Amino acid sequence: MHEHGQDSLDMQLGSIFRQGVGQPHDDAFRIAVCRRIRRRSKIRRIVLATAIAIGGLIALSPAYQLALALSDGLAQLSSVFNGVDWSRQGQALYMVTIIALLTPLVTMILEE
Amino acid sequence: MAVPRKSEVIGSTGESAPEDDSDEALVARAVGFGDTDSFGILVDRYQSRVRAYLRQMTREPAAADDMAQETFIRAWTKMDTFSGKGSFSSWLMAIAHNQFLQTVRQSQRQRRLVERLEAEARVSEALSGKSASPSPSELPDLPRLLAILSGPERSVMLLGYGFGYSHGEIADITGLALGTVKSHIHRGKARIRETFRLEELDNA
Repeated sequence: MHEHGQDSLDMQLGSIFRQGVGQPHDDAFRIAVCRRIRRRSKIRRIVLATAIAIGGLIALSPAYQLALALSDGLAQLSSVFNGVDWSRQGQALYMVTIIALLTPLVTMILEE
Repeated sequence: MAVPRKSEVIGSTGESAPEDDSDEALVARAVGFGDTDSFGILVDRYQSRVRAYLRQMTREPAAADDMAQETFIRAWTKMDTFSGKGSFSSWLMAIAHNQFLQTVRQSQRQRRLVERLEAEARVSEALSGKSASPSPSELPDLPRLLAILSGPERSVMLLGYGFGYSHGEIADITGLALGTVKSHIHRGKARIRETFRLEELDNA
């Protein structure tokens, strides 16, 4: 502690505390911490990739339908919207949203 | 904290994650590229300090090492919140301190800790005779000093005298106001002075 006005008691306490705190140090500790961190990173990557894959699969069909409908051209815009089954699209988007919201939670639980 | 590009970080040192790199460079690598080797160097650099602090606070080496591991894991996950304004050491010790407080709250270890410290105080009292005050020539060791201090006093005095942090840094680490830190140290010193008559050692 480097403060102004240190007295002899400060010096004595500094000596006692510095000698007493010890210096626990070993490679096993660092290895354990790094192993846990790598494991967490791995789990995070796997969960993220899985969520993206599932979300992509679910979204594939409606996205394909939407792309087909849009390909009819802007000139037939009104017919495009009539051709899309919005109840199905909405359901799929709802699922994707839920997965996106749940992914961080699942990741956190798995990491713990 | 602005994260530099990898070429900038590595270019500044010429190698990847050397042992003598600054804390800031290692943090930048860990944040920017998820470089666990860089973080491993930081763990190596500060594990003694974090473990020693938590061991003195808990008096249970195994529990303290568990807390220290959690501290470093939390530091890894929160690494992007390190602003670089203060030292990495202070930032890390703040996480360790909060980890200690959280663990104590969750596990109700405080009650057992208090009992343990009270028991230690009784033992030290018994060892030094009927009076709690030893003879002036008797230099108290750290456990006996800590045993008579309250939790906050123990914390601020360990950080100050044991690890050399300034009052301002202790305030940052513990989240206490600067004035509160100073008053804890003042009260702790007064208690030690009264109990052990430390200043008389100079005249003995």
